[in-house]
This record gives sequence, structure tokens and C-alpha cells, in this order.
Amino acid sequence: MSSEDIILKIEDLKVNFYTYAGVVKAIDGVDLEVKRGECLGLVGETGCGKTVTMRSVLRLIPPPGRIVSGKIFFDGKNLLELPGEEMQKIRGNKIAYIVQEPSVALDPLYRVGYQVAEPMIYHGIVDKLKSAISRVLDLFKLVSMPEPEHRIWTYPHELSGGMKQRTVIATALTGEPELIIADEPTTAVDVTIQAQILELLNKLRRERNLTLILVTHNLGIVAEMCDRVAVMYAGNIVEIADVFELFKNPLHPYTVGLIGAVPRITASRDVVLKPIKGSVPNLINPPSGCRFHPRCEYAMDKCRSEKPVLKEAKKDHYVACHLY
Amino acid sequence: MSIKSKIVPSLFIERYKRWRIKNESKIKEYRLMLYAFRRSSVSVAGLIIVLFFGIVGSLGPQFLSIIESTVKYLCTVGLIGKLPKFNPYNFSYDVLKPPSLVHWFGTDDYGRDLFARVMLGMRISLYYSVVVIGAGVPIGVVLGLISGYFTGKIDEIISRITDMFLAFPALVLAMALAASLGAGLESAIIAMIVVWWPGYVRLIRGQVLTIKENQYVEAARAVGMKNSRIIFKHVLPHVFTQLIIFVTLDLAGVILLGAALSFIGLGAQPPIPELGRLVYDGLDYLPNKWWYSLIPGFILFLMALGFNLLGDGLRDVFDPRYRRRLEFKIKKGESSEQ
Repeated sequence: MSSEDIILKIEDLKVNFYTYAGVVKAIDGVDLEVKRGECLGLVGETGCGKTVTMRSVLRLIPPPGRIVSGKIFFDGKNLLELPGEEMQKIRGNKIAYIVQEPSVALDPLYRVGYQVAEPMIYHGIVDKLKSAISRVLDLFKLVSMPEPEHRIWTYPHELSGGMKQRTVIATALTGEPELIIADEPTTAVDVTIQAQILELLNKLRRERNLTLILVTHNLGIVAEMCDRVAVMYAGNIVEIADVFELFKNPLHPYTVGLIGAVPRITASRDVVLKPIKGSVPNLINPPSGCRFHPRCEYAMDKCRSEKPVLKEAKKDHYVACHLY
Repeated sequence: MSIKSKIVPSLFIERYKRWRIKNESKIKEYRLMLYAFRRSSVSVAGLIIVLFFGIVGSLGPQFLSIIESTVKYLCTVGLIGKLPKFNPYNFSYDVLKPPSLVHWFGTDDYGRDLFARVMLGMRISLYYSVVVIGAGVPIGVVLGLISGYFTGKIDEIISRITDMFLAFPALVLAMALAASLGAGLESAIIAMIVVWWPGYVRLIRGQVLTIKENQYVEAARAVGMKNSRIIFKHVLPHVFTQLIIFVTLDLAGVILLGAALSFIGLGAQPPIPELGRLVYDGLDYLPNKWWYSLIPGFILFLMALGFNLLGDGLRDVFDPRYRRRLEFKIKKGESSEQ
């Protein structure tokens, strides 16, 4: 794998949140490589640090949080060392971020067409509102917005959840980005719309040769969409593998548990769901050694004392566990 | 020619129709706003009072001459028997005359016409309320936006300074400042500006703290916008409605505070007809020559009342929840009629 194929590389990223209760070590040494043109799924429980990891790529961590150490390379440049103005050019232009809730991601005071056009004018891609609007129309057609000519002039409250999500995706596409980070793009819409949105993202990825990082806790989506999957637990990446490999033989006990906890439509009711026992640890005082050991069936003495590192257990299948 | 004349209006109608479709939701909302305002006769009364004072205040001396000429006309027609005398500055021998056809509001202790003086006094009241709000509010809003948006140390500094100003009662601080600057209209205005901005820092800061948690602010940052642009395009417009209401209510507050300063003797100085000063000057003659003190006082009261009623009405108009309730009521009314 040559270095040119890697569009985004995160090295030993550590993010702390300095709260009144203490220092929350939200991200504790994340290493991640994203290949150009692939779709990477980032899965994990709520609060395990998926969103924070992705936000640190854009350097948009909300105030008590700070990136303590690490490097994030995008196109060979370390984003964490860039001056603020250059970072602003990368945001939206090179890396687009699709936020979680489309319904609140749009400013209720402006027409949606204007909101999509605004970054274009701001980044100097087009200089006039009129030409920007015609591009917005193209984008709306691209994201299969119904009645695009009419929708441009509506306000966010007049749109349905799916249409808002399409608008947000259109906004993300204004700067011709190379990398799109979609942070749970489908949590706020129902299943049929979810399928449409995912289909849309897939289509865009194929047509524009985009790299997509899909942050989600829905393993079904990951199985459907992604090429590779990274599993996160309590601020660490515990397993990275090809999507088929991961679902066929998951190595890390947490991944096994995660897959076992997914309800299946076709399974009979006799098949009991197996939840992972215990709950997500408090990250102010994370467990020593492997952060998963209090909940792990296979925990050994080594797990309590020594933190496992990500190593290649099989070809292209990385896992951070003392079992392998 | 005939074809052209047919096409042109239809083109306009076409454009208008398209505009209507494009702005459908806006028009609907504005109509509802208008309805919400019209519904309460009290706020309409407030608007009328404010408009009246606004017109009188902006016309000033011209207003007097307009009245003079209309009355003159009415006299020649024969509707009014006597010509009124408007002498706001010139002394005369008609000292402390009660209200009559010649002196509508009576005269003061130098024989000056009180009606003319009160009308000119309204101009001064409006002048300093507009200046104080116009200078104080932008300062407060900008500082409030900064401290609310950037939290942390900047916020701490701005907030603590604001607290220091707010710790003093407004009137006491304004008095102290005006006295140290030397009594006069300008120093009263400066003193009031100094007193007025901190309240707005508090108001705006609180609003901004909630607004910036919205994801569209986050989204704006994610597409690479500068903080200044986010603040002015995606935060400030959201506080506008609150701001308009507060400004309307505060215009009355400034008028009263200014009158209070003049009453004490720290505001506009004697030849200038300031309402608060007129009230003070009339105090010596109070029970017998009631018009001297009470009429300017009543006008002050009306001005403050007008702005307060208007502000109260605007609060309903700008409250989306109230509008939705109204909409629901209208719909219910329609369905019950059928």
C-alpha cells in the first residue's frame, strides 16, 4: 500500500475533555488509515468517541475538549499544524462533514437554496448569487431532491426529514470535496428514507470517486455500504478489517458481542439476543490495561495490566487484543 | 403596439405570481403577525401614540408652524374664534395663565406658551432616547455576541465588567456621571449611554449561548466559515426579535431616565424646553397653577406608556408559539362555521 493511496491518516490521536468532574480521556491513542476511494465504517456504542475522532479531523472539537497529541495527515499535510485560515479552506472544500441531525443543521431563517449557495460564495467558487443558485439547482438534482426548482426557495421547516438530509448532503458537495465524513446520516430519518439516503451516498461515491467515512452504530448499514470497518470502544480502535472478514470471523470479543447483539428480521423468536454485559466505562477513570476487560469473558491477568496495541492478526485484519 | 401593451402587464402579473409562490410562507407568516398585532387594541393604541410622538418629534418647530397655519385657516373660516400664540422662548406679560384658546396648555412663570414648549420638549426627549439607544445598543450587542460566542477568558472579562456597571443602580450611576461631566444635554446623553449598554450585553450573551449550540452553527463551521461571518449571519439574526422588543421598551426607559436627570437639574439646561425640567419648574406653583407641572408630566407618561404598549404588542407578534396558537384558533373557527 503506497502512501499516495492513503487520503487520511490518523496517528496516535489523543483528545481530552477538561470537565469539572475531571479529565475525560475521550480518545486515547487512535490510529487509522483511510484509503482513497474507499468507504470506511466507524462503528461503536454511543459515547465511544466516533464523533469526536471525526471532529478532530476537522479540528472542530467543542470547547472543554482539546487534542492533546497525535497527527492527522490529509493529502500529506498535518492538519493539526495548519494555520487557522488554511484549515478553513480545507473544511467544506476538501473535507465535507455531514452532521448528525439534518433537522437542526439548517438555519431556520434562510431559504435552503441560499444556505447551500452560501459556502460556494464564501469560498469564492462562484462570485454571484445567481450563478450559485444555478449550481445549487444542479446539486439538488444530483441528490434527487423532488421538485428542485421549487424547493430552492423554501425554508427548512417546510421540508421533510429526508429532504433536509438531501439538502445537507448537497451543502457538503458544494466544494467538490475528496473526503466526506457522514456522522450518522440516517439516525433522524425513517428506514425507507434511510435506504434512499444511503443509495444516494453510494451513487455519489461511485460517480465522483469520493472517499466516505460513515460513522454509525448500525451494523446493517455498515454491512451494506462499507468496504472496511473500524470498531471503536471507549476511545480506542479495537478492530479494523475488511467488511466481509469482520462479519464472518470477528476477532475482538467486543466485536463478537456487538454482532451478537444485532436483532435479525429473519431469525425466529427463539434466538435470544445476547447483550454485552455491563456498560460503557466512565472515561474519567478508565479501566487499566485493556479498556474492555471488565466486560470481557476472556479477560486474563495481562488484560488488566497491559494495554493491547493494534496488530495484524491476519492479512489486513488488525485487532487490539491479547488473545491474538 | 397593441400586442406590447397586452404583454407587458401580463409579464408583471406573471412575475408577481411567481413572487407570490416563492414567498408564500413568508406572506402567510407576516399576515399572521399583522393579525396578532391588530387583535389587541392596546398595542394598536401604543403604536398610534408612538407614531404621533414620532411625527411631532421629528417635525419639531415645523410642527408648530403647521399647526399655526391650519389654525389661522380655521379662524378665517370661522371655526375657531381666537388665534393661539406660540412663543416657546420669548417672554411675555401673560404669566401663569391657565389653559385657554390663546395658550392651549397655559403659560409658565415667564409668560412662555406651554403648548409650544411641550411640543419642542418631546423632540428633545425623542432625540436623546434615539441617540442613547442608537449608541448604547450596538456596543452592548457586539460585546454580548463576542462574550457569548467565544466563551472562556474573553467572556469572563466582558461579563465581569458588565456586572460592575450593573451593580450600580442606573439612575445613581447616570447622576454621578452627568454631574462629573458638568450638567448639560450632552453629558446627560453620555451618562445614559454608559448606563445603558450593560443590560444588552447580558441579554445578548444569554441568547447567543443557546443559539450557538444549534447544529447549523456547527455546520457553518464545518463548511469552513469564519467566526465573524457565522456571528453576523447565523447568530445575530436570531436575536433580532428579542432585540426589537427590548429596544422598544427601552426607548421609554431612556425617556424617563433623561427626564429624571433633567428634573434633578443634570440634564438639559433652562432655556431648552425639556419635559422633566418643565415638571420641576412647575413644582413651586403646584396646587394652584397645576397645568405648569402636570401637563408635561402627563405627556411624559403618555410617551412611556405608548412605547411600553407597543413593545408588549411586539412581544406577541414575534412569539412564534403565540402565532401558532392563533393559527390554530382561526382554523378551528373556520371549521366550526362550516
